[in-house]
Order: sequence, then C-alpha cells, then structure tokens
Amino acid sequence: MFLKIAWLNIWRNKRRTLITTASVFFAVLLAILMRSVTSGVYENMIHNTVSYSSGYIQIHQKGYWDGQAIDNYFEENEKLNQLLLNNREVTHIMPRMETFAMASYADKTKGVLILGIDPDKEKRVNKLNEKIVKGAYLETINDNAVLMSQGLASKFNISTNDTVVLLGQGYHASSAAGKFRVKGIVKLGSPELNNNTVYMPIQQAQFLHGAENRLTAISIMLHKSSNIDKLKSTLQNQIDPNKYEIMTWKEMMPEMDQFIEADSTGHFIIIGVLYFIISFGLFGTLLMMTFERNHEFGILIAIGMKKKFLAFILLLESLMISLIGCLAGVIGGVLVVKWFTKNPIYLSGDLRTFYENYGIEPIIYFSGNKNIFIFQTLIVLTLSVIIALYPGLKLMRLKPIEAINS
Amino acid sequence: MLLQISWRNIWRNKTRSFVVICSIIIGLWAGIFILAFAWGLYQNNIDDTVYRQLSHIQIHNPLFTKENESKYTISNSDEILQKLQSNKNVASVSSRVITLGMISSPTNASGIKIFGINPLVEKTQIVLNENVRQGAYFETGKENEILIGEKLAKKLKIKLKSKVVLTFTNIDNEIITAAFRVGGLYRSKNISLDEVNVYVQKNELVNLLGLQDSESNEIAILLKNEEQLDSMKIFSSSLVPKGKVEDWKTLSPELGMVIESFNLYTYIITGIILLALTFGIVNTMLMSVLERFRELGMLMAIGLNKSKIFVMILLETLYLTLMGCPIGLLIGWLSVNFFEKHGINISMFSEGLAAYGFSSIIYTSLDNQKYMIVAIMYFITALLSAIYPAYKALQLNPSEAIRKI
Repeated sequence: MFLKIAWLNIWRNKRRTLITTASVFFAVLLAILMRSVTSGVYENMIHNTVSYSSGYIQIHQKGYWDGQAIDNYFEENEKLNQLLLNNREVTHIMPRMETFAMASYADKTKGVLILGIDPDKEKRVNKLNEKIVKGAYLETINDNAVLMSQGLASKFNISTNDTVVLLGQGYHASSAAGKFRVKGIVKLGSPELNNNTVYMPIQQAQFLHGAENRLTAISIMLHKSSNIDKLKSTLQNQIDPNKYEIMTWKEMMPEMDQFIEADSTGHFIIIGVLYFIISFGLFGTLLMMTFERNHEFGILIAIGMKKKFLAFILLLESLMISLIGCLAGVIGGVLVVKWFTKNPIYLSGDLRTFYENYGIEPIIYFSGNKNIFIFQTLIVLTLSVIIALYPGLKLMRLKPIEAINS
Repeated sequence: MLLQISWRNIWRNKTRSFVVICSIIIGLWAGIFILAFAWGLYQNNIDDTVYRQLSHIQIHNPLFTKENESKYTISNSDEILQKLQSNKNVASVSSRVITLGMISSPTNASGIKIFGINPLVEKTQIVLNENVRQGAYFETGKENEILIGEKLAKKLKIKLKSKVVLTFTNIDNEIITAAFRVGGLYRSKNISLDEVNVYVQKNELVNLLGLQDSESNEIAILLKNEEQLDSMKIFSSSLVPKGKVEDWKTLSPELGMVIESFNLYTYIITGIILLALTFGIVNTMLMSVLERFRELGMLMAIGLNKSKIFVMILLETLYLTLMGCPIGLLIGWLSVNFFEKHGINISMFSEGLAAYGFSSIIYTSLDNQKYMIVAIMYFITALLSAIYPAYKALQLNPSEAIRKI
C-alpha cells in the first residue's frame, strides 16, 4: 500500500516531480560525462601508444619475457590466430618479430630495434603508412626493403634508396646478416622509438634471422574501452598455458601504468568536489519540496497519519524519483557518449600539434567503459538516498498546528 | 520600489534564500578550489622535472645536442660557472660531462648514458642524494664509484658493491673500458630514466674521455625565481655565445603537452561544474517561483505588470548572488591559502604512490586574476540561470494562480 501511495503522490504534482527527477538526471549525466572524459584521455593515449608498441595484450612463447632471447620465438599457428579473432573484443591481431641488431651505413654503426611487421595489418591498426615523411610504404610481407625511423635516419644521414647493412644474432645461434634498401622514412611519435627503429616486412625478418614462420609475439588490439583483465583470464583458459604466456600492456610497460595512476589521483579530488555540488543541488530541491508540502503533511498528521509512516512514504517517493532520474541519466549519458564517440571533438592549436607529434589522435575522447556508467550511477543513487533521509527527519519534527497555519 | 520588494521577498522565506546563497557559495568555492588544485597538481609535475631533473636552463655545445658525442664541449666552463655562480638570480649551477656507452655485468649488458658529475654540487642542483635508496652517495671517497638506478641493477642482476664494466668511446674515437664499483642504487620519479642514467665522478670521466678539466658537455642552471628565466637566458647566451641555451620548456616537450592537456581538461571540468551549479540554481529558483504562484498571481491581480515581475525575480537572484559571491570568494581564498601552506596529501587515494617516488602532497595555488575570472563567470551563470524561472512566472494566469492552494 505504501508503494502505491508513494507512487500516486509523486504524480500528484508532476511539475515538482519533474524538477526533482531532472536534478537527479543531471547529476548522473554530469558525473558520467566527467568520469568519461577523464578516463577517455588515458584510454586514447594508451590506445595510440600500444598500437605502435606492444598492443593491449601480447602472446609470447612461455618464458620469453624473462629471457627475451631469439630462441624463445614461437611458430605461427593458424588455429591460435582464429581463436583470437573469434573473440568479440579483439579488433586486430598483429604478428610481430622483434630483435636487436647493429645497423651500418657509411662509417657509422648503431644498435637498432628491428620490428618485423605485416605491413598491411599495421596499416590498418596504426596507420603507419601515413607516418611516412619520405619515400614509400612497404607493400607485402616479403617486400625486400625496410622503413627507417626519422631520428635514426638523420643520425645516419641516410636517405631513401640507400642501402643499410644489418647484423645480428639469428635463431639457434646462427648469425643474421643482410643488406636492405631503405624504402621510406617514418616519423614516429615516441622519441625513443623514433631514434632506433627499423621496420621490416615480417617474412624478410624471419628469413634474415633463419627463423622461418616464427614470431616474437602476437599483439592483440582491442576496442578502446575493453576490460583487459577479464579478456586476459578468458584467453588464459583457452590457450595452452604451458606453451604460451599472455601479458597485458600494464605488465609490459609498468611505468606507463604507474604514470597514469599517479596522474589520475588528482581526478579523485576533482570529482569529489563535483559530487559535493551535485548533492547540494539535490538537497536544495528536496528542501524546497518539503517546504512546499508542509501544509499537506500537517493536515495528514492532524487526521491521524503516523509520522513514521509518512516519513517512510516520503523516503519511498524520493527513492522512486531517484531511480527514475538515474535511469534517465544513464540513458542520457550513454547517448551523449555514443554521440561524441561517433563525432569526436577535434582539438586545435598547440595541443593538436603536440598530440600529433606524439602520434596520438588529437581528439577529446569519451570513454564508453561500462564500469563508469555503473559506478557513477550507484554513487549518485547512494548520495540521493542519503539526502532523501533529510525530508523524513524534518517531518518527524513537524508540528502539525504550525504546519497547517503556514 | 521593485528593489525594495525583491529585497523583502528574499527575507520572507529565509531557508529558500539560504539554499540559493549556499549553492552559489559552494559553486564558487568549488570552481576556485578545483582550479587551484589543478594548478597545484601540474605545478608539482613541473617542479619535479625542473628541480630534480632538468633545472631551469641548460647550455650545450650545439653539436652535442645533435650528435650526442662527448667531444663537443663547452670550453673554459669553469670560468662560466664562476660567473654564473656570482649572479644573484642563480640558486645553483653545475657542469657535467656526458657520454653514451654500455654497462656490463657478468650476466647482462645494457646501453646507458654516463654522467660525470660533481657530487657535492648535484646535491643542491637535482637533490640526487635524496634518491639514493641503498648504499651511499659518493661518500666512501673511493675513485671508481658509480651510482646506478635500482631498475638497471635488477636488469643486470647486480647488487651494491658489485663490479661493473663501462665501455664507451673517448674523444679520439678509441674504445675505452673501465671498471667501476656500485657505490649506491637510486630510484627517481622517472623510472624509465633510471634504467639509462648512471653517475660517476666528473674528474674521472674527464680523464677517461681525454677531455680537459675545464671542459664540459652540459651546464645546468637552477634559478632562485622562475620569473628571471628570460633575462637569465639572455645573460647565459652572452656568457657562452657559441652555446645552445635552452629552458626546461624546450628541453622537455612532453611536459609542455602534459600542461596543455591539463589546461584543456581543467576548462572542461570547470564547465561541467558550472553546468551543475546552473541546474542547482535553476531548480531552486523554479521551485521558489512555482511555490509562490498564489503570491505572484496576487501581485499581478493588483496591477504589477509582467515585465516588472520578471525584473523582480531577476533582482532577487541578483541580491542572492551578490551575497553568495563574496562569501564564496572568501571561503575559496581561505581554503586555497590553507592548502597552499599545508598541502593536500593525495596518497590515500592511490596506494603506493609515494613508493613510486611521486610526490603525493599537492600545494594549491592560484593567482589573483583567476579569482576574479571565476567569480565573474559564476556571477553571470547565476543570473542567466534565473532567466528561465522568471520566464516561467510570466506565463502565469493570475485568476488561476490565486485559486491554487
């Protein structure tokens, strides 16, 4: 019966209900948007960084990460590829071969990182072909040429169509030596990569190292807001744990994870302040509502309604309003985030150049991580329930005669 | 007359006015506090980089920045150092020799950047001694001591007192190998640099490289006050006409990006808070207008025309805002000042923050101009949010309104 009374009560004065619902709605919406923007920055940064380096998740031969030796490379396996691609979260997989070698040109010799890649897949994931500043992009997986990063090329003073000699250690202690034509020069975002990277079509790299069909890692790309830990454990159940190891970027690049954690700490305080404002807005609305109904409460008590029942009904009313507001807020939040994911806001000015130099898409990205929606809604809901206790308390202290006369 | 009516109106229902004033106070305080906090946060970031890594200004031989070979030096750096030291704007100045090389332990080898430093000077320059976690900071007085990062030590699988071999080329392009003993392990904020940067005594590295004692590759200048940056850059260029003088902003473009993005997101966040404030005020004012239907209807019935009602409600908001703003400003100013002195410890939000070497105490700060900007922004927002409720009051039908309970 209480439920019914409460339900009827909130629709008796639609305007008042709408106003209260609206304040809950905006509270949820703003909390979601705020969190979505702040996590979005990092997700965008991570997405762009890992697309050049490790991928979100890498699969190696078991024991590779600790030893990092060429003998720990594993054989490419069509079944494994299919299994990965069948997962809905996975957007791309990139076979990679990574080795270190000495590169020589004219009288200079430098240690370089050789990345054996599938040019076509790389193009689709990180648009490597658009980073070419001179020359042309690799065409196939056995194109007999390499791409050199800009910083390295300027140290060598090398240009396109010059030939570089690479010398390194091959599979099973063989030696790897070869001459390669520099087909193009790429400008990479990270200064570290830009100073020492040579891209080579993967079959050439395998041939150079005498490691036919072998890979260092399969890099897996996911959607920006995927739950990486959950996916890792799913994969762990599907893949032979004695043969492969699965690592996330957090494990492979702990510095970046730490940096993000340290940097995002400040956001806790900022969002705390937002909650404060939101609660106050809600509180104000509820306070006004209680006022307005003082007369009504007075009469109800005067004709014999128990105060505690009335307080309970009031609480139920607030709960219903909060729930409606939260629901609407979540729907609104999802729509706004979806809209901005489809039509991202592009940055301009200095910041755009900064981002582009670092190979990060210059957009304000809104994270669509489910956790954000769930958490923020729960927090606002809790806040509104706590605040909803106030009218009840106020009611307990109500003096019917004064209330009726007011 | 309207002025008086609205003034009395707001005091007739004190609680309601109190709610609106409070939302303005809280909104204003929040805006000020968040800006000051965000500013403090990235100031913290800058300070870490400037005072622990880069210093304000660095001077190199232009060829050194390009080729990274230690034969490109700044000659007579001792003399330059003395001149800089005697300048009243300079807090600390140090000269270093730098070379790239390789470090090997019995199990592993790694590429590194070797800094030849004057240990005593670096104490004030980049407080290097505070980063030492194990062992001592060049205190044994032994010659072949080396300070390496904990991360590098882990990679090389070595401990304190282990012997390592450094390999690098001297200025005549001959390969030099030298044995060093690990005197200390350090950990700085920037863990990726810990794997690369190692420190030895300057005179030793100078001898090994075959440089002159007065030569160095890098001169780092720490200023007493950031404001002198530009004038000191000019002064430094006049001292070292051939050198390349750079400030921390050019030395660390990443930091520039961090600051720029932070600025942008601060604006977004302030915008979101302004929105939240707007809805708070719109809701409360709307409630207060709707609640007073009877009264407003009566006013209309006795001849107050609609535009006057509109102005009256706007005036009420104006009064409330005028009362809220100064208090909000005051509270904002007080809290910013309080936390400027005492700092906010954010380590409780993130476990192990300090363990990574990040400073976890944030000191808020805000310049006076920003206070005014925020206050004016909130003032305008508050007035704008009164327009809708006032407009709503216009649509009132007096005869219906009076009969409503």
